[in-house]
Amino acid sequence: MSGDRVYDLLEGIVGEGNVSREPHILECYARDSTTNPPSQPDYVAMATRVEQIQELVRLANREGVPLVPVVGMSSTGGLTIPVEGGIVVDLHKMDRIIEINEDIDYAVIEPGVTIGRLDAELKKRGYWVSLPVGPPGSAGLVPGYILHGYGHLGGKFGINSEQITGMEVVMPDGELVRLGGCAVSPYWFHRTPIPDLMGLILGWQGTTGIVTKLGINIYPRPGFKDMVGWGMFTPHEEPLPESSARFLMKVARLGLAHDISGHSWGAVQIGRGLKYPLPPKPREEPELYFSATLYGFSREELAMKKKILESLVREGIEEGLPVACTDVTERVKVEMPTRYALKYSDHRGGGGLDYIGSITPIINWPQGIKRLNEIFDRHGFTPYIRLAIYRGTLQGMMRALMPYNRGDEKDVEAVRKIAREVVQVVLDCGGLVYKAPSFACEEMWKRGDPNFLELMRRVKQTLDPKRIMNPGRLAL
Amino acid sequence: MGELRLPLGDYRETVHLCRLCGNCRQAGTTYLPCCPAGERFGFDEYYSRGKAIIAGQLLKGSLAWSRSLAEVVYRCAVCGACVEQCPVSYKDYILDVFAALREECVERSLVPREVGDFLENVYKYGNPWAEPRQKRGLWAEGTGIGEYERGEDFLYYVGCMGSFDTRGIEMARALGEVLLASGLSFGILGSGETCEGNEVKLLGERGLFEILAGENIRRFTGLGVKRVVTLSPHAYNAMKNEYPAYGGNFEVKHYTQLLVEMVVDGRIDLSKGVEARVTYHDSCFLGRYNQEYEAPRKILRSIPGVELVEMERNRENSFCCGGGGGNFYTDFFGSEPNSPARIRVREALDTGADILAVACPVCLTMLDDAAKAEGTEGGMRVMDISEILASLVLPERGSS
Ligand SMILES: Cc1cc2nc3c(=O)[nH]c(=O)nc-3n(C[C@H](O)[C@H](O)[C@H](O)COP(=O)(O)OP(=O)(O)OC[C@H]3O[C@@H](n4cnc5c(N)ncnc54)[C@H](O)[C@@H]3O)c2cc1C
Ligand code: SF4
Ligand code: SF4
Repeated sequence: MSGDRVYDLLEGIVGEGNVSREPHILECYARDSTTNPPSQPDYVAMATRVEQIQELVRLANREGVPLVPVVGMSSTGGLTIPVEGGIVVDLHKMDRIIEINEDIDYAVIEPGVTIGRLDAELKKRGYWVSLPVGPPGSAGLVPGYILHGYGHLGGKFGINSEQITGMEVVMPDGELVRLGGCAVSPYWFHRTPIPDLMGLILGWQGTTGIVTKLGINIYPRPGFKDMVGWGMFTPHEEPLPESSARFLMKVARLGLAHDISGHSWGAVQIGRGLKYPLPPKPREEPELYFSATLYGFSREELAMKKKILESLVREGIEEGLPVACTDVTERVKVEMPTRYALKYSDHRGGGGLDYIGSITPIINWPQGIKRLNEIFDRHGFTPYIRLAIYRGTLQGMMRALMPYNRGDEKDVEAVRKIAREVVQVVLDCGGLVYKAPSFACEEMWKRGDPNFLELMRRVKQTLDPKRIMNPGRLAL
Repeated sequence: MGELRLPLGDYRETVHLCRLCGNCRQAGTTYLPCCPAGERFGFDEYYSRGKAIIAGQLLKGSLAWSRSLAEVVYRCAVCGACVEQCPVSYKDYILDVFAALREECVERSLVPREVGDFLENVYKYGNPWAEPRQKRGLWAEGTGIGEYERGEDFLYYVGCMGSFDTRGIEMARALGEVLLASGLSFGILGSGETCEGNEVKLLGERGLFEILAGENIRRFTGLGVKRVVTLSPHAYNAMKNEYPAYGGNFEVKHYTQLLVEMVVDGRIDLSKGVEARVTYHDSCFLGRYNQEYEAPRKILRSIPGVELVEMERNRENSFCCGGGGGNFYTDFFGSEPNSPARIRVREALDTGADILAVACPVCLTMLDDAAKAEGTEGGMRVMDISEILASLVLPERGSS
């Protein structure tokens, strides 16, 4: 007996050695790589079984102690920081791939299955799924998917949460619930046509339940890959013309590419080995480097896709668009999970990385990019804007990445300011912040439908009356 | 009392280079876990990421040193898997930060009892088990292996495991006898040998390491030693990479590097062969620390009848047996089913191998014990490459 009742109860649930209240262990769960202020939990418990999670939730309810589920703690936005203390439930050891069904093409995984591990396992069988593009291979797939994340095949498959077929969830009262087809059928194949209750979990940042199993679509992995690259030009201080956005929309409408994304000039230079601080962008170089990643099951299919896209780029050039072909031969070789974003975040020195990501209509990207550039320039940061178009839509990810020195308070303060300014730009462009830190949620709700916020509050109150699940998130 | 030396202070700027990305949890390509400490204990602090966080907080003064913190610091095999996986510039500092944390634990008298015993025994007796120095050469009795004499080609440095550990002794004899049979001119130091200090340095006792290195270098130099062949990759690492800074410039080879040459030039004849499926476990100090992945595999592939199969985690992505950093003695990873050695044995079993081959006395002992705990008797055997070769080239040993 430790003399700490909650600790003893936790130990009774997860077993000796799987719970800690040592300050040095808690410290490691107090922060992420962003500038969101750290905050220590009171306990950390390592869960390995669903029943343990149910027990932990019941205990948290009885004691009125907050509970924060975490896997890789790689999500930016301070989403795993236990702002009100309580118990961090570390799920990274719940890492079984429970089923890969090659007759119906879905997989069922536990929350600790990492994006790298699932990809490696699927690759062996000739399958793949859309993976978050930037995080380390050790990040969990489940947290990324249930927060609507963006994946490297977003141009083909859409937002990651659209690939979810079923779910098993421990609700805030400890009940275990199945959602989607698996609630009725032995198969985890789809979430329709029954009422789609997954909206109670998706995008809620762990505030309405703990997902213990997730079903997702898997797809045959094509054997051939190629890319078409083009640059979009402006003299930096001027916005891209609207016609450049319309050009991207044209590419999106073709529906040929598995991924269509763009990166600021600076990000590409760092990838090419240039060191911090970077010189100003030469006028003759593109403001944004775009690429369309193409896959095919045969060389012929791939060649055809490439031909169509290249002719579209050529047409654009002939029509006088500020567009030119660029070389992407090296990037074709890059495999997922990539380490690029991690390396990028090293360039300023000091390990920190903050970002604000959004889903924003493409038509508003030119004005958004111009304003984001101004913010970066004003604070003395290399602009890194990342853009990506989602399947079948004319909107996509517009994200601003800020690498900073964790050891330098001035850097930390500057990035906090940048993040807040970026949120305003996103909202002015009609965008929505994804994986939003609570300060960004506050700004969204200020501009939003008050009844939407009210409904969210009522749902949360109904599901989690004691407010134990990841409190402090979503500015509720 | 003198002032505390605070080695962690040197890393005030660099600890922040850790991206907190967690890449150090998994080995590239397979994305299977790579950190033995994390596998065994789970909490984030056991991974390199966590240690970077606590180092940063200690430096800031927002975290206090404690015995419990020191325990975590020492529950690490210093296997270098995290260094291999780290995608950013922090990778160049990881092992230095671990060393600085441990040196501070020593300075602050916070080391766990087992670590204290290890260091004290090495200081007093030249080995961690407090065995009398005179017993050090006993393993060679009856083998015909003699003490090193000036002019001989190689000094055969056996190390503490080879001198005192039961399995280590079997390995030391096997290698010695193979070398004798090959006609190599070599000798040992016998009771004149002392610990090379690799683990002492890793445990944070830099001062004692310097004493041991100095002693060994003086002895080797006094005897006119030019070339050293080591039984253990741990000794190989210290002598090759650390001793030159103290004036010890010898040509150092791990025994697999010497044997592979002898197999190629015919001094060792493996034609007898053996029908076996063999999987090879990379030692961290031969592999990740010194990039020697090929020599042991080349030897195994040269044996007629051997089918060499790889475990899922191999070469730079190999999974440590958990014995490094003195854990073969301190036993902080224990023998539970999730101890690194047992995990590794199960991975070897998955290959369907008849033999789990190693090239290190630490791996040999750790994995042999783990194999027993996994109940592999009558099935897969754990053997050092020297033992496999001995069974092929020494008539009295036969192929078993
Ligand atoms: C450099 C970089 C680039 C990134 N790029 C992308 C990208 O391209 N696309 C993208 O989508 N993401 C991206 N991310 C964000 C993030 O890394 C991924 O979404 C990742 O999948 C999150 O996994 P995690 O295990 O780290 O989650 P965590 O950070 O551990 O958790 C994230 C959130 O989910 C909650 N949660 C965790 N487990 C559960 C559960 N079982 N049930 C309910 N709630 C739970 C947590 O409480 C928290 O709110 C990036 C991150 C970095 C650092
Ligand atoms: S050295 Fe090995 S045991 Fe230690 S933290 Fe790194 S990977 Fe883990
Ligand atoms: S040690 Fe390297 S791999 Fe591990 S979290 Fe830090 S930066 Fe990432």
